[in-house]
Amino acid sequence: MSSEFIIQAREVSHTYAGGITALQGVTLGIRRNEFLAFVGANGSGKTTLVKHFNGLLKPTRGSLFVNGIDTRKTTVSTLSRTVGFCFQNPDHQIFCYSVWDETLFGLWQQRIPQAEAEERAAQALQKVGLYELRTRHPRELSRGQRQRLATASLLAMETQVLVLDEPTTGQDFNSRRQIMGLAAELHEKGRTIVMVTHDMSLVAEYATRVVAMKGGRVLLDATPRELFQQEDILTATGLKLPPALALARGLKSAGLNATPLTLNELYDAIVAALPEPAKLTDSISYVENRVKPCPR
Amino acid sequence: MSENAVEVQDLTFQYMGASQPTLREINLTIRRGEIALLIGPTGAGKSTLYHCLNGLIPNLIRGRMGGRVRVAGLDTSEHTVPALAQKVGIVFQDPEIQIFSLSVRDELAFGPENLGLAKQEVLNRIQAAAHAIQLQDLLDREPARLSGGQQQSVAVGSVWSMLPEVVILDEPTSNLDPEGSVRVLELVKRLNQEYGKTILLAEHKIDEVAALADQVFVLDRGQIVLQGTPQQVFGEPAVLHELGLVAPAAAELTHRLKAYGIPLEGELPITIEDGVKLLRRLLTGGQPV
Repeated sequence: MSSEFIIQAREVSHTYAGGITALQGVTLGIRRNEFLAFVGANGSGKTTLVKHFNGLLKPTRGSLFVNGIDTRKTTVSTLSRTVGFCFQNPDHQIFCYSVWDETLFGLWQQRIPQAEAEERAAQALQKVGLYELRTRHPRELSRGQRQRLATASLLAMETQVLVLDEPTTGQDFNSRRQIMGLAAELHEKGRTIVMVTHDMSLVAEYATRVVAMKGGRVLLDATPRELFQQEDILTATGLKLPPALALARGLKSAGLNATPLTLNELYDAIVAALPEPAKLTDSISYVENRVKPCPR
Repeated sequence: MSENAVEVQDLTFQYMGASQPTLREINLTIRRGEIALLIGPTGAGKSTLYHCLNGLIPNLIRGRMGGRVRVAGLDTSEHTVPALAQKVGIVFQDPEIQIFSLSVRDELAFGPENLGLAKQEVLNRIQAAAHAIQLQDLLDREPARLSGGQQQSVAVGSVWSMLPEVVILDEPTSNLDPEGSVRVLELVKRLNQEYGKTILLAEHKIDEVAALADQVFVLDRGQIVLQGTPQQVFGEPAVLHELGLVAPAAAELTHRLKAYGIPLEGELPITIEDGVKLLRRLLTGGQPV
């Protein structure tokens, strides 16, 4: 087994007890420190696949290795030291009586010394804007807040791999930025981040690699930019272009040749493509305005 | 009948035991047949506002309410929750929380049955609701086995069968994939255009819903801080950014280019299509392509 991959799936198939086959021979290696996004319509097998990463599901055919260990030959609790998993629905995960205990629970399970555990819990809660609410019962929080709590609890554990299933559904723009900021920070520290998402802007802004799935198979394994250039894959998976790319595509016949992942990139591309007279107007305000980046 | 579906005057509400009001001095009017979009950061007071509109406040939820709320002509402090439930329906963010029946048919029947309506009337309403949500063929299916978009449609149907004049949808596409989102937003459009329902829609996916709205309200810490047409509200990027909100991408980009000093004339684009039209003119120096 090559140590290049922290997670390796070999011909993984999964058929649920009811007879539905959700995965059909998926072969895939995830390298350390990748920021990988799984995309595809509901029912394409994304969540089934990532549930194999911490042993919640075992392949019914093929095999899956985490750090070189066959997931069928170990336990979920052992795997959970390597792979943290954040569910799509926070209510499937949260069970403690306070925000503070919920954040500490995983750290206690890992036998982290109390002082360090509290330090990490406090930091994670501060980063998602929930520290002030730490004495509250999780049920008193809004759904968006509970989702941030679930994510913060997971992120506090600082496992080598973090799996985030739809981390930003129902989040407003700031909360989304908080959650993803935390994930990006851990990615910078060398962690491997795996997310499942329908939000193509999230893929464009954060992912280093994207795997598009359909009918339990991998349809495309590429960079976000490559994905957005493949019209047929987007159509086949029912995915929508992020707004910046949708605008850019509409402007192609007007001479704009760019695949901008963010509005800032699109802005730069448009400014660069402007006819000369416009470019000369007010270059000072251009410089000034560059200082404060567009918020999306 | 007043031409306004929703009239809120100087509404203030403070939950019992809370140290400060959750809603302060809210004034808003939604005309019959309009789609109003409500945006605001989490914790702004959106849910409390819905509860004021369906009469749970002040009838069931305890606290101190000031001001007046009229929905479909009924003053919420003078009518019971069951009476108001026939005027206002709420579709929640997570259909899993709302749906509990073992068949789509039962789910659609639940509201009318609880009103004690005659059997034939209940059956008529099931048919009509199933038609509205386009799930006629799935009446005997178990909701839990439907796709997310279909489940959310069932939630809308269960509200529809109460024949409300006003339908509140709280982030109805949050838990859906892009296909499901399209389905539910098409349904919202149809409820409005074909059935004349007044809609209050809260949604974070601003690019997808901004163009549907006749009016936009921005709620922050219990107060309405901006209201107007989409062009007016999304024409205030500084206020929105301050609250951690953004305008639709086409509008954001237009603001940025204007700040750069480019004269972009005409109406602020809200949709991708309008944005493309405006920017095409810019890139081609005003020449049609």
